[in-house]
Amino acid sequence: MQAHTLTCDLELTPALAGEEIGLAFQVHNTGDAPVELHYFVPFIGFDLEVMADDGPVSLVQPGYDTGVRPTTQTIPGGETAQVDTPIRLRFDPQVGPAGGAVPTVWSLRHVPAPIVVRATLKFRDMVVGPCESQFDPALSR
Amino acid sequence: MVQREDNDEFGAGSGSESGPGPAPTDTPAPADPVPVDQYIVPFDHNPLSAPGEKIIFVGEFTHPSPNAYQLKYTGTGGTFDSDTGSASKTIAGLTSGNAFFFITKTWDASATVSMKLEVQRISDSAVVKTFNWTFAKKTTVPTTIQQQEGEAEVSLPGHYSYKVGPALHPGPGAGPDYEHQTILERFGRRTCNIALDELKPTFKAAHPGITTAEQITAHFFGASSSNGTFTVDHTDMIYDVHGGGISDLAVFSNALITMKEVTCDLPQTYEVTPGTALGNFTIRRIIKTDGSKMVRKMKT
Repeated sequence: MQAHTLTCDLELTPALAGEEIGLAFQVHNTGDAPVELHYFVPFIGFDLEVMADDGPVSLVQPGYDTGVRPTTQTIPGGETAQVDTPIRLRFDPQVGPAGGAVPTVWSLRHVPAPIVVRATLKFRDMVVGPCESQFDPALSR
Repeated sequence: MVQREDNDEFGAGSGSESGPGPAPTDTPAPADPVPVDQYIVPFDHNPLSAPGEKIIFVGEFTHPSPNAYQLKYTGTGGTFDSDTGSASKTIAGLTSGNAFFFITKTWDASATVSMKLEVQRISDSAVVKTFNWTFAKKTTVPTTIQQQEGEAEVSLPGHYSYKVGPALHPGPGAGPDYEHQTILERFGRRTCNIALDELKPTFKAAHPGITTAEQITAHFFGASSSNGTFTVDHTDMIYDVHGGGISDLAVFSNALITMKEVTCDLPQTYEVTPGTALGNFTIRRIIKTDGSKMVRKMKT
């Protein structure tokens, strides 16, 4: 189900001294009525598309098998909630098909470069987005 | 569009996800944001466990300078890494990975089994967060586990729910019967359905070290898995997720003489009593010939 009163912002944050990119989502309720978000923590229910100046960037996700727990977050009308994720991004043009060693680090098969990341959030009973953000690794070191 | 900088507050003040149990103690220095909880396991801070049981602790936090911190576990009534190991373990940074704690085999209900996790700033040894777990002994353990979602293919990531039983107090509103009990997850060896003679000569020439089925699987899907300790919740349920772990179609179409649906199987066991399986499952990751990535989880 598409939640028409919900929109999102994607936050891309320099992490690990600029070696990685942290992700977080701001979900806005643009309607008047409260909306409940149902999802599992840690939250990995989202799709990412990544673009650089030379085209789409391949995203390599290691296998991530982990225990989770359900949570419900209520967003009052006109308000915003933050949804965190342990997933981080890392540029690695040499990454193999199985991905890197850390399950929560997704590799961008590309040399460090300015990118645009587009996220679509898939909660248990609704889809929010896409939302988009730019990241320039040169500005984060 | 938002790009926060290194000196931003980085989520300080956002909601904690530390789960049931005592709230962590936060002691921030004025200029230093408190590390943000990402994943603290076991979720339940008052678990029920068994003598000799292996408990997997995980602590993951985010902070602009994770290397300025360390995670210090201090246990009572057990030891780390083996049953003759140390009672404490310190891990540099803010990502613990799996910390294996073995409850003493001779534990009786009168002895204390507990764990303390401290998030410590290295520069001044300040403890900025503390989490505690207090264990009690399992009595009647579940003997059944039922996957609630069925076994059809779903898009990655796949979320799965499990009800443990049998119900000891049947009837609406009765129970829970097994709340707080720890369940250890174990993984077997991955296998995939790619044979050596299905690989293009150009791929073999570029990867001369790949000559066995195990090496093929390790190349495309990896060889390690990170298991965990689950705790049964107030509805006698546990929840699991399986994401990632399979490359894009181009990786396989570049390697295979004839592209086909590629699968990778990972055997999984849930164990509530040390050495005894509560349930065995196969996690099958699939890439279809149209590039879609799926997962199917089956009881075995």
